[in-house]
Amino acid sequence: MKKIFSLLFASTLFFGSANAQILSEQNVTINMDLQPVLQLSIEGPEQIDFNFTEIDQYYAGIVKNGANVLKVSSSVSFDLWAAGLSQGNVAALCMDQLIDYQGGGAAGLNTVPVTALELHQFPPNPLVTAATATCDGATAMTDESDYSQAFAIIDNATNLPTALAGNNCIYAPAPTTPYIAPQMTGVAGAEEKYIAGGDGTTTCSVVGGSYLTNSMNFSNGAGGAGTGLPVNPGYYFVMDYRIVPGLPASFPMHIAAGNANGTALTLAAAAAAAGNLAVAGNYASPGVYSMYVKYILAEDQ
Amino acid sequence: MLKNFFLISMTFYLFLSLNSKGQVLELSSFQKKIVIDDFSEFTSNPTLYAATTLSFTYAAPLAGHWDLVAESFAFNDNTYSTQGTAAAGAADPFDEEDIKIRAFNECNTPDIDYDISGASPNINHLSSTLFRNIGATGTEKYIVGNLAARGNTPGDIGSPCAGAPINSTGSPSSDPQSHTFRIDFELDFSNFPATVMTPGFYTYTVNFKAYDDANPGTQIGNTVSFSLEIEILPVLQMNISSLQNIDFSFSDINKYISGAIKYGATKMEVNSNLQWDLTAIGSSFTNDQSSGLSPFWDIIASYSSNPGGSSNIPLSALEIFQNQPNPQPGAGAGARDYSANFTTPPSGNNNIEVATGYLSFLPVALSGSNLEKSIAGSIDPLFPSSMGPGSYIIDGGGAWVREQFSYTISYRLTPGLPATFANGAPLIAPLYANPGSYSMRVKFILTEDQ
Repeated sequence: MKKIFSLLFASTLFFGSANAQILSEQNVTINMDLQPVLQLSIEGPEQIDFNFTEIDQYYAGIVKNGANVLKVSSSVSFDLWAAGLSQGNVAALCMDQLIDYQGGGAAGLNTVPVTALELHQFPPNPLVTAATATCDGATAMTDESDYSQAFAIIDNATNLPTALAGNNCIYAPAPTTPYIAPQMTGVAGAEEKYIAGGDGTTTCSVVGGSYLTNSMNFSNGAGGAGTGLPVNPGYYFVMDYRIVPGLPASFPMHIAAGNANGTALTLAAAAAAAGNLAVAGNYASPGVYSMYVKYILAEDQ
Repeated sequence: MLKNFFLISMTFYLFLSLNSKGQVLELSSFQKKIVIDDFSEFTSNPTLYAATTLSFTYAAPLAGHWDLVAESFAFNDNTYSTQGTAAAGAADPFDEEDIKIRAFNECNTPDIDYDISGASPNINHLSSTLFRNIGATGTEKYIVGNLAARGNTPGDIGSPCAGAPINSTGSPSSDPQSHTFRIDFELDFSNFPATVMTPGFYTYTVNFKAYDDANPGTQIGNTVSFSLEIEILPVLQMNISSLQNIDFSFSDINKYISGAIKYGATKMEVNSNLQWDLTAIGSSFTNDQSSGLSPFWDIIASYSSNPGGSSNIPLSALEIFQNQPNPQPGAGAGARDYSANFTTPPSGNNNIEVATGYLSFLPVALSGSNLEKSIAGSIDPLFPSSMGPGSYIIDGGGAWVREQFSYTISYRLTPGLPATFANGAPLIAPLYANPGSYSMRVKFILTEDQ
């Protein structure tokens, strides 16, 4: 009986359990950790000393040419700037006084602003070269926005730089906010400085790249003279430093009258922090002073 | 309903029983199924031993002698593929002639040389030792006896029944050596791999009948039917040896410039009884959910609070390299596979194809993909091509080369500086890739050639 049932129902089983396998699939997951690489290497001494022991050094100042070379590699668009800072043991925005030689008397002040340090960069900020307009408003960027101008001449009659000739004082944020980026106002005389890049996004930055793959254009490739400039500027900078005490030692480069961008906020704040240092009759108290320069390489914000 | 059906069945059974009184053919089972689902079964002829046992009771008051035949009664197919023997116009389709049968008993009765031809077993009969087909539907072949009236037939020489009559009265219980037959089946896959054995569900029904030896062609007793169900499944086996996750970490500037390579990270091995294609598809959730309008990596995390770049990293930026060229790349121009060497900067010849879909794939034009590149074979509708059946395990004796069934895949990502993944599309430039954690997937698709 069971067999008969099997026979009768055999046809009903014909279409059972057909597991057609028309496709076989295997998946592999690819993960990518794209870490922001912002590498800034600095060549040169960790400590740069300015020893003012001769009178001419007070007059002319001391220049440290090529004291540091900055090399940048970045996977993202970036800005590079320098910030003049101290611990503020005298006052914010003033150099730290490590020792007081007690030679100053009542007129000797120890409020030497960090903006007394001047920087000079080569080559210029590529955005300045391109006169990019969008970073500081409608105004095309000028060399007030970087440190590419030559150090200003000191006038021997006035013991001051020619009026508004100075344009190399270091950007000096408040020590409590050392990473505040320089601001570009678009107003002549009120710009703060970048070494590369600028304030703002979109085109106000240097695109990611590296000095490693950059040609310095030593030659034109055909045996002739090259341009002598990086093909893609923005990844390699030679930095010079200068401090001019002046006589009397009032550090005249930082005052508004001597600076083309003397109304920049931090420059004005540092000048205010210096108090009466630049007032006739006052001078910097002899001693050992210290400050530091923080080079900041940041993803463009 | 079931009750009525049961009564009808009982009536049918009683009818058969009454008409076969004294001469009853019986089967131990009426149906068996054989499933072919492993590649190794295609390299030999699959065999089903003891599919059923045929027993014959020929008892008093009958006299005389009997012959026994098997009839190729019906063959039905329901194929799963258009490839191979079932294809229109196929020269030699898989059918009842590719299903062979063997009827064994202790007397070696089917091997008796009835024609006195000197050839044993009798080549026109089913054999006790060899598999033979019955033939086209409607054809009968003798298991015992032949068209001639031979009277008493002694057992085969050398068997325990030699000299003893075997085709007279007897029963499975009293004469099991002569009145029972073990029925074996064999599928003739000798055409494989030259011809694909079309996957499908096949049924083959064999009738067994007894004839009066003195009156050839005159049936005595009942007919019993046995159905063999054959399911040939498409075997598309892909063994993959790979890390589930392949991680690229770009933390050094030199990796951005030169890229990062994961050599031989994935190895694939293929067995297939069909013509096949193997291809790699790059995709992501973002890509699938946008139907290809956003062919970008999935963003797992962003490392920038105010990113100035783009997080739309093109999927096609992933490059893969296969260890040997595509043996059957198709005729189209340009890169047809991923065998081009990695170059710096990336040439674009190794960019992974980007597509959407799960069972069928649409190339994503924004990625520059057109599915022209495959690892083996081609799914390019304009220039189709396919790999033949075969296996990575052994060489096919000239039918296939096993190396062509095994591929090793390397991966590369080259962000570049700035990190624009310049080989991918759509372009990120003039922006750059925002730092972050990203993910995508590579689907390795082994599919029946269409």
